[in-house]
Amino acid sequence: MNNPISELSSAAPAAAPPGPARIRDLLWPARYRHGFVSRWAILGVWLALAGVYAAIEPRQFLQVGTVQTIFGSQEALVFISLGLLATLIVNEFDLSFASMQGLAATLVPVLSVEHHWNPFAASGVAIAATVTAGAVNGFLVVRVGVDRIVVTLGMSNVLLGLALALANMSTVSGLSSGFARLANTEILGLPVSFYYGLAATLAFAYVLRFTPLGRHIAFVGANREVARLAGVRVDRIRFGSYVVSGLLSGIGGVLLVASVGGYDPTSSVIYLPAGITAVFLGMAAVRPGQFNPIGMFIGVYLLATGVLGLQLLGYTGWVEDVFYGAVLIVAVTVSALLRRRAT
Amino acid sequence: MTPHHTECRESGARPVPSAGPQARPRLTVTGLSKTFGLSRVLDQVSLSIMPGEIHALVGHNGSGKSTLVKVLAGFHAPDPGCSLTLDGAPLHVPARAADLAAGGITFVHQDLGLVDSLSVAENCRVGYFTARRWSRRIDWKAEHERVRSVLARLDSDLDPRALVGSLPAAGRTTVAIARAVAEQVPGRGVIVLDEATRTLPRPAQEHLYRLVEGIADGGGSVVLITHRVGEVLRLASRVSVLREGRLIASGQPTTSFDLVGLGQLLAGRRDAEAPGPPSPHPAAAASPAPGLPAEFRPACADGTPGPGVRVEGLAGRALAGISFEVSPGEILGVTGLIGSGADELPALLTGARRAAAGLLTVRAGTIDLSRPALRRCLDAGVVLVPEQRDADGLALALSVRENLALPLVRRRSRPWKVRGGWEDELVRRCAGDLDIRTAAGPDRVGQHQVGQLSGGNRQKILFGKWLATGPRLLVLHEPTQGVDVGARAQLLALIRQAAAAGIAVVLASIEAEDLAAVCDRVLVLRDGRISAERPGPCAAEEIIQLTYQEASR
Repeated sequence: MNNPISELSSAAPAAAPPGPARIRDLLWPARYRHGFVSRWAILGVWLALAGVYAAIEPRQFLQVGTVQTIFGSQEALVFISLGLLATLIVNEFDLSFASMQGLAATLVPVLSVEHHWNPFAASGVAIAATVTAGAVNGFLVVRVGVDRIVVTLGMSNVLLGLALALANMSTVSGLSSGFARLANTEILGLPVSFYYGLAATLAFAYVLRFTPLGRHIAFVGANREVARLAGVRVDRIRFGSYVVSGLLSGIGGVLLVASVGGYDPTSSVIYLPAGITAVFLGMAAVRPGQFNPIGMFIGVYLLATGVLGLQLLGYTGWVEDVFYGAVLIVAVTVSALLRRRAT
Repeated sequence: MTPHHTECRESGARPVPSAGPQARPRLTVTGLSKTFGLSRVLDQVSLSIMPGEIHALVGHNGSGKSTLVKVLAGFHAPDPGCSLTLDGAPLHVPARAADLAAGGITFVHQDLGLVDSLSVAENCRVGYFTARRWSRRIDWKAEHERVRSVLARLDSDLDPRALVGSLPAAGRTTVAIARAVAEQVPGRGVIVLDEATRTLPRPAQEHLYRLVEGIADGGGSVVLITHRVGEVLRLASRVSVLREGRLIASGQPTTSFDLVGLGQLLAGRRDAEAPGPPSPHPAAAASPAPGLPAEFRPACADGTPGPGVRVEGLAGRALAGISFEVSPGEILGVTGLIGSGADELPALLTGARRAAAGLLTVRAGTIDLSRPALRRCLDAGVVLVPEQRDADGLALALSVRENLALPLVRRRSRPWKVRGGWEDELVRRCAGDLDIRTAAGPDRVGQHQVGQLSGGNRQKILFGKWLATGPRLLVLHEPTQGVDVGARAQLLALIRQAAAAGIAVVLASIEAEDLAAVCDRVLVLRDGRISAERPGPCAAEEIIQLTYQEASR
């Protein structure tokens, strides 16, 4: 038997690729080329959807206002979907994000209009409330070990009920226009809250992709035991994901009520399927088969395009439910197929 | 012939049933192969089971035993070209549950497979309940009567209404066997016992043996799947040995084996590929192995042998308070059968699981292992290469780079940014020094999903991941499980290199050849205590003998 050490250190050098392939590698490196189509196919779907609407209803759809509506109305959905995503990437599930948003969006006008608080102070209290709700979720799921679906579904109902009680079962409005500027100041034709959502998404993606914390989160999501044995504080990260979900849902609620000026607590219900659909739709893009914030961001605006188009075609009211539900099933099916192909 | 051998002869191997040459086999398996993806788990396995015999099928983890059982039970469809016959008549392939039931082929699964919260009758009859004609209620009176008659056949007077959870271990084995024979015509059929005695206490094992012998005496066939050599010699009349998916002995009479011979056949004589004898470690410690990069050298490897690692009173589920020391640069082998405590030692020693008691002293101080100690152990340089590589060792969905860097990612990065080039360096070094080869070539090793790599490459990544942390105590649990022979030799060489660099190594393994090849000292555990300690180099035969001898007593 020859010496294994020398055998180990003599790895054969790679053969250099032939000339033309090398130039292609320079222009379009292999690591971007790999899976390019499946990574960005969702953008094609989005464009195709817009194209179909433009072909059917060119007069109504092809307008600056349409673009503004699509990109100027979804910031709350971006934030709450990010909150849901924060739990899903560590293999948890927070079903109470929509109700947390609803609670925050109710608390702000109730405190500032009915109790004459400063709206910014009211926002702080609203966000503190949703963070607390998230911490309770996290405590029950991670520390006590109660089933996450049961806990967060229960929390969702409790918070929805609380919001209805605070609002006396009706729409609360009358927020000052100064507060509205927080969300509605226009930059390059779009409200500033769009940029908040974009910034939050990019920051979230950065944390996941480039920081040690993000690496740990990826391992907690992929294999909890591996993460634990490497010294990652798994339970802390899981607990943190629920708190972050509460925080982002609270911010989403504040931005929503600031841009609209008032809130009807019963409308929280629609945000639940919307958020879930956006997050799962995002799995089909950027990092196929994996939850990721940028895919989710694209998913949010794809959904908004779809719903708006349908509304312009004259379908209103019920169509959102059907659309979200159908897209959710399609998105999850596609990502399940992608994942099966990957393994 | 050894004294131990005589001992087990005395306890009485069964004679091969006196079947004439014209006797028809009860069950035959011909040309059975099973391929999962690229790996062939079973390769052209052929078996024949005679009426009234106890046929042992032995092999280590990963040898294909459980796959063979799953094919027989119809869980897996075999590759084309396989045929099964029962009493001379061909069976449909893949096996169908109805055919198996009609032919009386039944299974007793690992750890008996009983539901504790249900009664004896419910456990025995699940799947066969008969209902009353009109009300469609289960006819419990008839059910209990039927179960009582089956139990009577086994000379047992258990109450069919008793909860299985309330029964002692011997009673539970009776229920499992009763369920297996309940639908059989006495003297017909085949019972497959799949590692059924794995965690049973000794009296219950004896009870099970008696029941099984009774069935075989009555003309039924028994297939005994196990890795306990003592059990095979004592019960079975013939034995087949599986290794790496191939049948290396098919239906040999057990009288032609002794304990050591069968143990060796099971473990596999792999002298041809095994590396040479271990180097005496003081000399090796003086000159760090050239192949081991600085990344893998412990921070303390300054040539001076520092204080060793001391373990005191380590106790867990099976371990009953053992103490030992490992010096830097020493490779300490720990072995023992399942239930001896050898299999839980790695997790307890590294704080991965909480011990009942135990103190671990390293240079950084003394760690109480009976409290949550994982992070303290990691900080002190005590690391575990776990047995379940794919479940506990690596995140298969993530990349090679991410997996390799995980334990270091916080230490080597700024909080806001991971990449400092060290990751690329780490991947490059590991790929080179650990010889990780992938289809994509050396430049892109880091981007591969770990799940796409072979077992050998995965194991190397798991090694590299922990070696890169510069450990003081490296605890390896079955490190060569499920890897090919080439990767195995490389892994063993790596273990020696790690020790030569001054790391204290604990190697817990059932593979006697591995222990013989690299260990400076071997501890053999039995019933939670150290039953033998041998200074190395230690021959594989001796380790096998010490391990298996204990079990057959």
